Amino acid sequence: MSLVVDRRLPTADPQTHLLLIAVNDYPHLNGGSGTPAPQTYGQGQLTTPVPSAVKIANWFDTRLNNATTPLGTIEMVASPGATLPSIAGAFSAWFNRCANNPQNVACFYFCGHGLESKNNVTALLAEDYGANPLDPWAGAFDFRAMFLNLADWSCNSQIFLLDACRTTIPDSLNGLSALKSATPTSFPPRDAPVFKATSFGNAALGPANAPSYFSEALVDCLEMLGVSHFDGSAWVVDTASLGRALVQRMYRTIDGGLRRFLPCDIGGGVQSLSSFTHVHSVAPVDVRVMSEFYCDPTAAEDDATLVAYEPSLAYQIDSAGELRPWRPNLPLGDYDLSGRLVAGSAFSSIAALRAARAAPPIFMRKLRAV
Amino acid sequence: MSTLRIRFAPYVSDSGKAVVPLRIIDRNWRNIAGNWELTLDNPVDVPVEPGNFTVQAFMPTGEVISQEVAVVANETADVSLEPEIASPREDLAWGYLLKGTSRAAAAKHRHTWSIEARDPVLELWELSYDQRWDKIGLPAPLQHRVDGASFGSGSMRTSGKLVWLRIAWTAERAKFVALPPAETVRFNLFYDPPEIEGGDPVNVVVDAGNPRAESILGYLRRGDFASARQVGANFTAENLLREKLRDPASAAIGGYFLLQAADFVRLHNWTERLSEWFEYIPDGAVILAWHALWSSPPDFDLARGQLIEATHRGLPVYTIGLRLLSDGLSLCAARALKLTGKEDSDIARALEIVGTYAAAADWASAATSFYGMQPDKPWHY
Repeated sequence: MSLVVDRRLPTADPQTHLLLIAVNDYPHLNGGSGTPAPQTYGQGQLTTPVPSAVKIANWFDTRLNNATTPLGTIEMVASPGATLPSIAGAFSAWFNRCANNPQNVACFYFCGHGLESKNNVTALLAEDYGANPLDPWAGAFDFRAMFLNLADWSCNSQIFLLDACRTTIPDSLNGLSALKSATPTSFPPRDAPVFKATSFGNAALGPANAPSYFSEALVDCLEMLGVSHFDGSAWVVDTASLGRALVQRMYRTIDGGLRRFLPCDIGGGVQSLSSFTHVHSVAPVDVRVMSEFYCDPTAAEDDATLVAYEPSLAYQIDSAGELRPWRPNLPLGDYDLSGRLVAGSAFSSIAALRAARAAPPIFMRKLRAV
Repeated sequence: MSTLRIRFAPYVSDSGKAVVPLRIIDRNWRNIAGNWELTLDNPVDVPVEPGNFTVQAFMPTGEVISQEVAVVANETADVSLEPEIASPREDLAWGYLLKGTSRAAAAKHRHTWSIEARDPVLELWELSYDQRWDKIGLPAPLQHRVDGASFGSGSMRTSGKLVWLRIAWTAERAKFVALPPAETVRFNLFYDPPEIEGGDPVNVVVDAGNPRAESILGYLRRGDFASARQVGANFTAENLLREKLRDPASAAIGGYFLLQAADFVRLHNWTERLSEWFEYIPDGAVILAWHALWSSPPDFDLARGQLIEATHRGLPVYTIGLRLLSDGLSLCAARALKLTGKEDSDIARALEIVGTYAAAADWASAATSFYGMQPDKPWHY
């Protein structure tokens, strides 16, 4: 049973349907309880997928605000038991549910091992990868083929989130399951972005036993950072603004106290430029703007504490103890930016800026030190 | 009524006709109605009610430039937009403003640093029909090295052929980057330190000379579809397609944009001509193939033939085209197996060739780029 949330909305009503696949356990990879697969490609057990999927599920269940396509269902397949048959069953149910209305929003999330083959196949590994040594790839599916075969799906808004490594392997792969095997007979316009946690050939990262950096970024962007425009009552998160924000947010990852420019990849999808999908609405008070302030010349950074103050909100923060360049997430507003220098600095002052507006998607200012 | 006179602060020469989308936000956070855009070498006047506004410009590099302005009744207020990352020379501005010094999808704030890599070694190769690679010599020595930023830049004439630049940054690491066919194609080798030790430190940006097309390509490459759509609303892609005789590379960009926009009315039958008239450019065949697939009903036979033809011609000049070629061949292969129960040998052969290049591709590059020491042996390190 993988249907974890069912709001029981009328089938014909447009709604959002989420499919989450989270594979922690790989019995036939390194460190697993089963017989090792003929090829493990150096891959082993994971701890981030299930916490990541749970985080995303909880957000959609408790926070999604979309009057046009409210949350309908959440289907989740998670370790233990995230085998390919389980995944295929959940996929089929999700596929059929989404097909009930072309205005439905279909959201697909996978977190587990991913491999890129020599012949450009993106293989996502299920829990039973390697279970059959004569056919180890029976426990994997081809994401690219799945994506292409969904071209004629009667659900025009499809969001794909791949929270998996993209390690390259020297083998060619053929004949993997595509979850949907029927090839498309037509190619109507669709909004189908593919957001990947990392760039080609690289690893997707996260702290042990906790949500991945990509899932954290996704929730942050949905919740507050990924807005596009104000429609008079709320700020809209759409598939275009979400992608743009994910890239920026991933570049702000803090890993072990260090800033990591994690290379999120938002290409490879199909986005009809005629319309973007409205995913979520954010109340103005909840919006945060990814900001960056730095000194010019940068040599003044070490001596300076920068301050951002929004008078109408009586909101003030400063950069003391923060990594540089300073990257706070600020409420919407008009900020007075200033800085103070430590005693003995080679610089005498930092020129202030008044009423600089923090507006999405990003807000950057440099403060001149003299 | 009042006016905001918005201009791009730096003087731009060769990239002056590039267009960037603007967003103008009023005090109440509402966007000013209208599809506003800024041509880099010309100010734009925007009529507004008196008040305070924030003007944002979305650069193809991923940078968002913003500036606040207040305007009183019946007056004109000047808005000068200044990018954070400046070009050291006016004639290099195209690389800094339209391409970006980093392959990152977002503009990374850069502190000055020293190039911690030796100068790359360059070669020129030509790809001709049926995947034949020939080394054709060396480019002229790079010019305008900029410490901390660029190994140097160059230009050459590439009309009528598919030329590739080989860049080796160590004795064991190299990549190939397509130079679009043009009267003058420019390239700049930016120093772009990799996140991973031993990774590729060279961001090669190329430009075929049409600033409007190149800015569209930049938005599509970075996944900034909102900006691409805004610029493309007034984008005369059909003019580019009409001008394909003069500028087939930019015509290809126009074709890719209109495919992405699903604007099949504007595509007309120009895609057939683009493919027919320029037999040495694979991109035309790729665009025609996908135009055929997205037609109603899809013309699978035409698509199949064009995808195979594209592979005979070589590799698409632009990464968008490589993606479409790879996907198209995969679809045709799967479809043949479903319909006949047998493999389509021509498609399979094409897919094998394209698949190996796709697996070695640098997908962050706008111009097709793949890793490998030899052009017929692509390999992603």
